Amino acid sequence: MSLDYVTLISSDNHRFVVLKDVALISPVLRNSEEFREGETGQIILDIDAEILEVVVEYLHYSHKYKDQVDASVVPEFKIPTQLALELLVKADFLDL
Amino acid sequence: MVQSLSLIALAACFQQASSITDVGATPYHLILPVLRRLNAKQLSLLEENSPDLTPDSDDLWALLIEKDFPDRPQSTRRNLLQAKPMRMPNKELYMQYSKDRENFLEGSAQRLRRITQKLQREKSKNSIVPINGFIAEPVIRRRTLAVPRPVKPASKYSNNSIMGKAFKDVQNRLLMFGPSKRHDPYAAFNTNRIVQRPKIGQRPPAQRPVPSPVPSTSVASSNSESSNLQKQWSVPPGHGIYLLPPPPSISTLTSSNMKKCDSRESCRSPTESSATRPVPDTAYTREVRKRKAQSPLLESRRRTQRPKRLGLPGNRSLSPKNQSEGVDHQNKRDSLAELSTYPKSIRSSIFN
Repeated sequence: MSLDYVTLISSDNHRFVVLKDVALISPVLRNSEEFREGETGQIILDIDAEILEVVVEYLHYSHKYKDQVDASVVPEFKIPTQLALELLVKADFLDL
Repeated sequence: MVQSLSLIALAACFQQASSITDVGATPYHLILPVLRRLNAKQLSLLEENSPDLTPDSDDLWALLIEKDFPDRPQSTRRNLLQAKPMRMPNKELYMQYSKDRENFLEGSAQRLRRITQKLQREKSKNSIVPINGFIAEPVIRRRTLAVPRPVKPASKYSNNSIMGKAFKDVQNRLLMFGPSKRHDPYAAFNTNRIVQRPKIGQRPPAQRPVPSPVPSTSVASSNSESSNLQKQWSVPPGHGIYLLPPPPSISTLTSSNMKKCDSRESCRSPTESSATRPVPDTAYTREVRKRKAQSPLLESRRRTQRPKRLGLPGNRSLSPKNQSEGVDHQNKRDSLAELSTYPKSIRSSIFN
C-alpha cells in the first residue's frame, strides 16, 4: 500500500485529497490512472463538490468495510435526500 | 460487504418517489424503477417537467392502463390506425379512458339525484297527510224508474241462513199474493161474532145481544131488512149456536165498500175487515194494492190458484205438462200474452 494520494477536483474546483488505494475502489478512477491523470495525480471530475464529498465519504466507508464479512456490523451509509437523485446519476457514472 | 452507492442512492430515491417533481438530466434507465412506483398524475407531472423521459415513458403508461382500467383493451385499433403517428399512444389512451370515467361519474351523480327525487315523489304520494277540509264528493244521481221497483224490507237474518231464506221466500210470495193480513189461526174463535158455548154441566151464559153486523152508516131502508133477518136468526133460549152474520146484501155494499172489497174479503163484511188486524200502510203495500187494482187478472184468480207456470222455449223441464211441442201452443201464446200485461217486476218474480 503506497502512500500516494490523488486529488479529485470537482466542477467548482474543490479539491479532495484521498489515498490512491481508496480512490482506486472506483473502476473508472482506476482506469483513469493509465492516462495522463496517472502522472499528475489529479483527476478532474465533472461532479459538484457536495456530491463529490459524499462520494469521497463513501470511498472511505467502503474501503474501511470492504473486508468485513459480517453484514450486521457494517453501518448504513446515509445520504442526504436532496442529493439522492444526482448521486444516483454520479454513482452510476463512477460505477460505484 | 458494503452496498454499492448506486443502490443506496436508488433506495433513497424510492423513499422520496412521491416528492420527485423533476428528474432533470437523469437518464431513463436509471430512474425507471422509481417511475414505476408513480401513479398517473405524478407521472404526467414528471413528464411535463422533464420531457427527456417522454418517448420512453410510454411503457409506463401502458402499465398504468393495465393497473387502472383492467377491464379495457390495452391498445385499441384507434391507436394503431392513426393517420398521424402518435408519439405516445398509450398515454393518449390512458387519458381517453380517464376522461370517459370522469364523464361517467358525473352522469352517475346526476342519475342518482334523479332516482332519489323520483323515489321521494313516490313516497310522498303514499304518505299520510292531515287534511283540513275536503271537497264533497259529487253526488251520483241514480236514474229513478217510472215504476219504482219494490224494495224488499230489510231482514235481520242473513240471506244464507234458514231464517233468511224463509224470509226471502215469504217476500217473494208477498209479491204474488199481496201483503196479506197475517193468517190468524184463531180467527174462527173470535168472540166478536159468536156466542160463547157453555161448557158441559154449566148454565148457559147470560144472553147478550148479538151485535149488529150492519154498520150504522148504511141506508135506512136496509136497516129494517137486516133487523128482520136478525130476528129470523135469533138465538133460541138455552142454546148456544154459532151464529154467522147474514151475508151482506147487495144493497148494503156501498160504493166506498166496493173498492176495498177484494176477493179475499168477500166472505167478510166491511166492518169485520176493519176489525181484524189492519194492513200496514207502507209505500210498498200501497203500491201493490194499486197494481192489483190496475190488473184485473190477479183479482180474478182465486187465492189458492197459483199463476200458470209457462214453459218458455228453453225451460221445457220446468213444466212437465208441456212435454210435447204440439200441445198447448195456443195456450202458451195466450198465456204469454197474459204475461205481458203483468208489470215487469212481478213478471220477474214469478220466474225467479
